[in-house]
Amino acid sequence: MNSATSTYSLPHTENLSLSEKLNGPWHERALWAYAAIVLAHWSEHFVQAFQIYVLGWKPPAARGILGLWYPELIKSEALHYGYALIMLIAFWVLRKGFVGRSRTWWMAAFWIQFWHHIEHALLQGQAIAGHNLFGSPVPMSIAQLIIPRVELHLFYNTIVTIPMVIAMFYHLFPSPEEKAHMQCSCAMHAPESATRRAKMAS
Amino acid sequence: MNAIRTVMTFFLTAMLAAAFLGWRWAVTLPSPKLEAARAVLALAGIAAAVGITILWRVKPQADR
Repeated sequence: MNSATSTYSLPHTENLSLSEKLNGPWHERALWAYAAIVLAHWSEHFVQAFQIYVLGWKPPAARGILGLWYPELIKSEALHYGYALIMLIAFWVLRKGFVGRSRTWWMAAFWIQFWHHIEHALLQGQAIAGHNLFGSPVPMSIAQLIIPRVELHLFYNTIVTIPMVIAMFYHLFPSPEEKAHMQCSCAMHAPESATRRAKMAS
Repeated sequence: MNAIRTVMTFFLTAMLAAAFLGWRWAVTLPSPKLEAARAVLALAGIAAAVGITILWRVKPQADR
């Protein structure tokens, strides 16, 4: 992401811990990988929403893209729990690479995902125990008592992803003060024309 | 900067559209699931709109 004009230089990685590498020289690549996972997950949710809201499929039949070929996979609580856990871990592991405003938004996303993960853990627990809460025929989370599952998880994913996107944006375009504290190569430069305009305005 | 936030805006707009389509579809649900689904979808839509606003309120800074 850094342009040719960047003053950032990759430090030697031999003496760094895994966490330091992931939040330093490897932060950019880690965030790209993480963004790809998040986008793949979202594409499933978008397709599922399209199947229900536009094509008029019944929610149990609307299983996104993967579910068309592997319906058992999508019905599995382990898959959903696994994804929620991976997201939570990635939020935590990659947090130190964020500074200033981006760190605030990143941690907001982390805490919302923490609750989302608790809900999925409840569902996974019921699937493992073979006993559903509240006498339900299917695993039930707390909020699912009043909110249908598809809409609830569309909501959860939206309110986790929005602060994450804003955090990434501030991380790509940090203030000079924030950039001075960054250990990674993620920061991008404003276009020359915008920089000139901003300098003239100040 | 604008290219990046345009891509991000496209993504957030897709979320907004999903929330809007869901809000319209929710009329098929029985009460009180209808109200509950519409409430969370409205919140999701508002959150997406706020996210887009925040992205475009950031001014490019000099000294980068």
